[in-house]
Amino acid sequence: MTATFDYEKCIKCRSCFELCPLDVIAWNEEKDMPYVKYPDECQLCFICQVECPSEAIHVKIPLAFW
Amino acid sequence: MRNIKTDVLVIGAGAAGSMAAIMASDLTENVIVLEKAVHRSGGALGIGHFTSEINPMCNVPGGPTSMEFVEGYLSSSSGWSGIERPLDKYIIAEEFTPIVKELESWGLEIYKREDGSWDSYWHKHIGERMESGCWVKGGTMKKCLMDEVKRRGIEIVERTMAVDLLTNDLKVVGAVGLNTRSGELTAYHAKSVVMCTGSASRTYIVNPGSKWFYMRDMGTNSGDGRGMAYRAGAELTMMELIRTDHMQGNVMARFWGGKCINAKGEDFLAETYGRRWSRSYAMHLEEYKGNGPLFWDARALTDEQMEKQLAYVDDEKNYPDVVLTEYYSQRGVDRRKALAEFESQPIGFLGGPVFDYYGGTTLPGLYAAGDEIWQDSLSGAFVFARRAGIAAAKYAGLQEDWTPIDEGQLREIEDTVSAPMKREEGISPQELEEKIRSIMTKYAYISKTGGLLENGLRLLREVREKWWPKVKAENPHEIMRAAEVRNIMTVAEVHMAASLFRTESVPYGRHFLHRLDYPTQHPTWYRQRVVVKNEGGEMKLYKRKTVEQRPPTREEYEAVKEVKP
Repeated sequence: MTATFDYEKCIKCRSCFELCPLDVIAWNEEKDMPYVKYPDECQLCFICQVECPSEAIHVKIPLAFW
Repeated sequence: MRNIKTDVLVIGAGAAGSMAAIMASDLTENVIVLEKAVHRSGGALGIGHFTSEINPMCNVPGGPTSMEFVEGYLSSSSGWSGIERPLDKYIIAEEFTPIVKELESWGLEIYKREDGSWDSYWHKHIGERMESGCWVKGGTMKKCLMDEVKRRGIEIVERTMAVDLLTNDLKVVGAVGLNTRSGELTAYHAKSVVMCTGSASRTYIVNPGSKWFYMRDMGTNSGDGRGMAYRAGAELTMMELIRTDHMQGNVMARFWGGKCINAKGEDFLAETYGRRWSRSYAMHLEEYKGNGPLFWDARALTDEQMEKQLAYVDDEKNYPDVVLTEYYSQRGVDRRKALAEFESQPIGFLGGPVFDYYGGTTLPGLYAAGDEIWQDSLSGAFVFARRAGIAAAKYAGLQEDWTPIDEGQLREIEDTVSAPMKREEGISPQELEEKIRSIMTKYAYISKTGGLLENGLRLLREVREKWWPKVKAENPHEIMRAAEVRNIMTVAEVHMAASLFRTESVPYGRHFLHRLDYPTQHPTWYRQRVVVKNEGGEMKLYKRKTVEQRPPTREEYEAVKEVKP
């Protein structure tokens, strides 16, 4: 479980793609939208969610996390 | 390979790297910074650590003097561990407050009282040293550094990981950078290098529900500086000590006010250990004795106290607190009422290159700062990064020209780094990393024994010899992960060897070694540090006597006040 996107709200600003410190989020150039390319490498740092200007990202904390 | 010349090369653009670059830029226009992530999100500050509370604030109205701070420090477990270098603490006490004033002039927002003074405090943590600090708006900490870097026109090369140092004899003359999106390698030819790659944290799998990137410190912290420095022949020290923290999931639990109780409801920190033990060590021992789980009990806090606490905790853009806020909200739990359970988890290692009072390592031209070296949190990072930045720039100023790069070494680095891309078959970097970290978790967890460590070390070396040559990468991102796992292997091996070598238990603030087969401190180890060094491919360990364990004199500080190259 990691970042999930609300593509209706996404304004395609690429902030999540540019900021993710572990480079987990990639950009699908064809569809012009972000996606999580390496879900296993997500640290749950929430930077993408905090910095998303259109509140289109929700990071889900997995049940087994704690 | 492209070759770029610079006077000073800084590796890592976190708190320390940003500060070192800014300070170096006062003395030379030629500063380049490599950052594996991007400036905004790189380092501990990037994900919001430490950002609401900064300490120690000394020599301010109501606060302790530098000497009082150091005396308090030495009377805690950090002091009587016997391996402290007290002048480091005096330097921090003396120089951190002026740095905070400078940060404020760059845009850091500090919480103020009605009379305009800083919202500072001075108290003693139970079982820990004297704390004196002030409250800041977390979101402005990294931002003020970014703004200052931009104002000065310092170049930050983002998405670029330093994969190896370049050396000429033992002199460090630069580093090779890997662009983690394009895969391109670039030689950065420098007169001096400052490594600021953070703690070494990707070393354990911290709980059964954990994935490989769930950890307290920044996920990029794979011990790159330590790996590179070790390969280049620098001495590493204090690597036998593990840091643990009181965690909820991968988040450091906060318990300002309130108390820490065990399963029986006892305020064990106050009752059992008093001020003798560090909190982390006391909590680990409490769990080890079977008195867990441990909780943060805030039920006795007044509404006002609780509100003040949550106001800081809920400061948006404060990463650990965003995660906790999200956690409670996603689970539907009211944390004002709930007992918050936490557990001791290994955070990683803060031992690293042996350094002098100016951040200089045992290799000429190589400096280190921040969590790369043995320093304390944000204050130590800023203070020693300022020193390392100035020292590195002064050292560069003394070099007439760039010392030539060894072309053979460049080719060797290129071959090693790109080898995983050329393999048709093999294992992923993730698979090897998980193997290394599971060995660490099984054989070198918080409480250790010689038998487990010996066996773990043997397994680790077998795995390195058998599986590292089979790591396969599909793209530049995985080349980065492969380069990282090489450093993780080194850090793991150094930690295991060093903690096997030190035949005693030693508590040192939040960092300690708990040997079940040597459960107490031993006089023969008093004032002895373990030094680990790569000598022609062979790992050598030494006992090295450190300084007298007493508060430094003012004269001793004056002698090191001016930064020397």
